[in-house]
Amino acid sequence: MSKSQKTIIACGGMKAEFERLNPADNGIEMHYMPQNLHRVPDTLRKKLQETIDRVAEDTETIILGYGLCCNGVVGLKAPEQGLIVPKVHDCIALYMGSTEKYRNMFSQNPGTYHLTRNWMDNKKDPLGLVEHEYKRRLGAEDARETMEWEIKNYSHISYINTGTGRTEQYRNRALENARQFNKQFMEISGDDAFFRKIVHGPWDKKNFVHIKPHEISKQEYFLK
Amino acid sequence: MSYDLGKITETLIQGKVDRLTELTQEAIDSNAEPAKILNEGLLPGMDNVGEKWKNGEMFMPEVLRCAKAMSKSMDILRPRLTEGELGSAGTLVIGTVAGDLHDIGKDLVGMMFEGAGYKVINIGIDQPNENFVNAAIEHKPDVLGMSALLTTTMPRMGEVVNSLKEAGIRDQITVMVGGAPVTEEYAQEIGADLYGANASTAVDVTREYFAKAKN
Repeated sequence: MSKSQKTIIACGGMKAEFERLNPADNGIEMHYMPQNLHRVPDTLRKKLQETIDRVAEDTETIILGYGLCCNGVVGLKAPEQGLIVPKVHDCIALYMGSTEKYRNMFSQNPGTYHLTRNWMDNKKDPLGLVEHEYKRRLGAEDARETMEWEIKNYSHISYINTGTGRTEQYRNRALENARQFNKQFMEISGDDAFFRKIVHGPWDKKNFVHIKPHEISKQEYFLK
Repeated sequence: MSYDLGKITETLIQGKVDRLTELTQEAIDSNAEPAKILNEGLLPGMDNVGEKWKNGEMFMPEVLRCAKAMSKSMDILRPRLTEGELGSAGTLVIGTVAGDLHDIGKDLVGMMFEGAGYKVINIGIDQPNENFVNAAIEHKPDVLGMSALLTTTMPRMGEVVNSLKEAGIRDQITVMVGGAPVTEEYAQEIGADLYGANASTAVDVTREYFAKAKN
């Protein structure tokens, strides 16, 4: 078997956004990891390292579809060919298209709880979490109250519209979250510019961290 | 009436908010020392919760319930803890840095320090750098604690350390930092004195630090 040119190991949460760019048609191999591993960064790191080590023999370039993600990528050891990682804090910058856009949005409204289609599809929006996780663990009454407490300091709930899937349905779901938890709703236009860069390059140093062969990824690379 | 501190610990671990409030009140009514309720009832419970969270035996919603239960119980105890109890060990000023709205962990740290005999001045969330410096000048705390839950807001902590230097008071204050994305290495890099990996550890490392300083 000949080596593939590029392999992207990405969070499953962004599958729709990557697949829209038809990576397979460009000879790119995609590996999607379970969504939500950022909540258990030690597990994320372990699973990422396993996947990296496994694919390393059969590909020339490995790019991660991850950012710093709660330090989940800190401590990864780059394989023979090195490792390319988007220089972002988390997926929000990827959905928005650039770090600058995320930063501007953040400075205007730091108290924004962002929702994308994947969070809603996987019932990880506040309403979904209450219904499918918190109720089971805490009972109906406490479930709702706990979520209200958890997100009490947020002023806004946003829908980042990446233009994939049934956007009207996602917008309504995000609106319903905002209404029920008494937050202001806003819609943010997604931009696939960063996804394109991950898939097609160039992996410029401004937007990507290049970890040298056999070196360990450090948090500071993402903060500079 | 009697009270059972073991029951308080257990109820806290179960995250039963209303029941814990009742038990705390009952213990007070039975003349239990508020400091004893805190140190022998609540804190061992919270340590256990922290341990279970770290080991993956407890999940976010349960931990949130426990934190809330602890917080409600402390609301009853706090006004009853005498001046001598709160402040005998020192003063802690604590807050969450600018742009960051997370407070559950920070508040827990505050409660742990109250348990350890500190007077805690909680300046709140989303606090501009100058507010930390001003609070440090005003309250002259032994420890200044900063919390950040986002890698985007972490750099504010280093900026505050620099502002303390500029204000000429850096040497008079022990700076502690914490929050999920903060690491020991990062704490050292920005010039903090102490790193609290979690709420209970925060108290432990502070105790060790001052014990060493005395020797």
